[in-house]
Amino acid sequence: MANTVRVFSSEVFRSLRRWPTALAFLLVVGFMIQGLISYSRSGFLTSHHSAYLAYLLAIDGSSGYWVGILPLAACLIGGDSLAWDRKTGFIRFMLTRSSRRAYILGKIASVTFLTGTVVLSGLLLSFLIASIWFPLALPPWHMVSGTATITNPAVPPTQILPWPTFLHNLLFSHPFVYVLVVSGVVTLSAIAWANVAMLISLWTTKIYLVLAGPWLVYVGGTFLFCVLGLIINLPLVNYAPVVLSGAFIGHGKEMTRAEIPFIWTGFIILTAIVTYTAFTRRKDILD
Amino acid sequence: MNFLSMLWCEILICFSRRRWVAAPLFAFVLAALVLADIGTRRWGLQPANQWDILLGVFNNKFIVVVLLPVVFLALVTDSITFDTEGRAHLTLVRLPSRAVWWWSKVGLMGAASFVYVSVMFLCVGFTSTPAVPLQWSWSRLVLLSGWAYPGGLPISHLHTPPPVIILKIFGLIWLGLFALGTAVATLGFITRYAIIGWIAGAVAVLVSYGTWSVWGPTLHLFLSAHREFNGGVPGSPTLWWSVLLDGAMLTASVLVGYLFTLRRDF
Amino acid sequence: MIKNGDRSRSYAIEATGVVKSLGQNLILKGINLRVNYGEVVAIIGPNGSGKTLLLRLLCGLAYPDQGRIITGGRVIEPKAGGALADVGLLLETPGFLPHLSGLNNLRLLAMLRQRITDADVAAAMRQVGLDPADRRPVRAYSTGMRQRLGIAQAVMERPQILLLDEPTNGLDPEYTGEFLNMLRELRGQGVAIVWTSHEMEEVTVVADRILALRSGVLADFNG
Repeated sequence: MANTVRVFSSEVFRSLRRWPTALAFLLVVGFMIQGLISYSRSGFLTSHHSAYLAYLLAIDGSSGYWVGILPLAACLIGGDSLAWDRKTGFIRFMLTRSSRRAYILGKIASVTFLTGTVVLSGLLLSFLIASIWFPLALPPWHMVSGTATITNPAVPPTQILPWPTFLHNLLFSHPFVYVLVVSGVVTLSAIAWANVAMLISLWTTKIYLVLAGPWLVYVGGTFLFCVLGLIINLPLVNYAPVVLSGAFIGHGKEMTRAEIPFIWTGFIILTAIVTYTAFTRRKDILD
Repeated sequence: MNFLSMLWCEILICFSRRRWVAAPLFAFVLAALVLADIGTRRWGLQPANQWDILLGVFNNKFIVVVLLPVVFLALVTDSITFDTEGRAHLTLVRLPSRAVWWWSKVGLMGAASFVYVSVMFLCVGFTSTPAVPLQWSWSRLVLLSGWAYPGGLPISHLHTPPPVIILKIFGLIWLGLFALGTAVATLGFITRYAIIGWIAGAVAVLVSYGTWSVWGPTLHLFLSAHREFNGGVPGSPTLWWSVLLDGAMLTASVLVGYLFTLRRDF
Repeated sequence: MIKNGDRSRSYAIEATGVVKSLGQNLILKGINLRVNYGEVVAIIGPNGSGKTLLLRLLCGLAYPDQGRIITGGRVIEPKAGGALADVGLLLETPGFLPHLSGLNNLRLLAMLRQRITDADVAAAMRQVGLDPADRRPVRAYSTGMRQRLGIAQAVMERPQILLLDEPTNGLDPEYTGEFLNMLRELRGQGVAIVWTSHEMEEVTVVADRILALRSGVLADFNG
């Protein structure tokens, strides 16, 4: 345990001094600001601008590209650190000072912690910017048969606008908590992609492939889910990677989708177990 | 002679790498998806032929503007930085000049994009043969559906022979990937990090798809984005505009890379 | 037999007033060097003194900030497509393709100059104690084997100028002796050899001149 903590500490120390970490933070904040700018030029549903809506729409891709670059930014933070260690031979220095078990557990823990911290910090900073730029209030809304709905003059008052479809009522009852929950889910997805990059590192030391692989899975997987869903006539698109990473806020017909955080948590745990098992068992990992 | 030797050497090295297995596999998956998609529609696969499958894959917005470029970039982004990480000492001293090295890299990108697109077309065509007949003209599905399926063209193009359309698609995608691949690899070369080139390429792809602007680098790969094939939608590029823009991007990347090659320390 | 350069010039390598910086650090401060054909010049110096950088300048992989270098009759300058000197070069850890065998790596390189046949490539491998029939990829080679392969690629095309950066790194003592004999043989054939090393015992056995690179300046080594 002590060894694992030491590996964890050294990894955090190292990653915070790398330029890709700063680049990732800039990408997070930059693309969120791009989404806020796009929102300021539109006017979702009503003419009342709202910091909450601006932030949520930037995340879900309705008014920005953030959802498209999420895995790129996430993997830059620490997803390639295992690949660098193997490529440069630094892993030999590490493994003479700690066990394989401690090394890989420390790596997984540090990548999870750092990715989560950097992405969440970037998102919260973006929300702070949104709250300064736009009023920190929800747009006008009213209740229809016990369900809250945003007031839209173009829509009959008795009709419920389903947006958001993720934990719908929470937005209206506790909007700030809602922002935190959504930020948490998106952070979980970022952590998941960083773990996928580490898993890929076990088989290649080409850094850009380690960083590009999760993004290819993200985009290609979404396409696959969409088309397969059309073919078999099931709403598979609701579980596509892009949707689960951000577009879940407004996608789908249900108005809860509370399973999404558990999907990401399960995926992270599964990836970590596979990474740990593969690393500790492979004899050629130092080659 | 040295340039051709170097180019041949580069081609052998490039295609000896296992990652190129991804190209035919990707093509098979796309073909299978399109076959399944058409097969579950109203008329099924019975009236379709291979041109419908090729259009379904290579005239599909998301596939052409996003997926084809990103897979290609994943295969070639490090084609220049691969050399600068220790191998340049072995190859450069065997060439008469640095210029030969750079031109062989450009030639490699042209060859790689051509092979990639060819493999994709051939594999999609091959995959479709068990399911649909090979015919010279457009299929009955075009007439039955009014070409209203993914990848379909305006009905006014019915009189254009299918090989001409497919050749135009092939040319657009090849030239576009040649230009984009060269730009991305050159950026990686200049910055010394292939990942920076890759990120720039991925962002360019996303922006092309998201903005759908005439300046989007990968929009030019998509036939139906062009005015001649979308009923003259205002703001769409023409085919010549796309060729010119790709040519300009390619020329700029090649010149910048050439200047860097002459000056930098290896 | 003279294969490259203009042998009517008396020097294989002529460097005059060469100055080179890396970033803010001035590494070489006015190098003057002349090497004849059929001469072995050894350059010794502490780590970071610029020995590898000097070899890169001599073959055209880098350009001097000031000064002039002529290698094998070619002026090393960025003009005219950046001509490089036609030399045999072994620099740092050779960047062979890890997924190919040693023989295939050398065959690919031989394709570029097209002066030798596959049989010559195989002979070069045997000369350095490697088996051309070994189909293992280079990633499976030990450090010493990679170094031997690096020496093979440097000498296989029978260059008239050889630039070697610490060629005996990783070599076992037995092969080191054979390597030194090979250098004597090449010198006898009129090859100009510039060799950087830390090992004084080796260089004194073969070198005609030993120069020391210290504080960015080359001088005769005295003891």
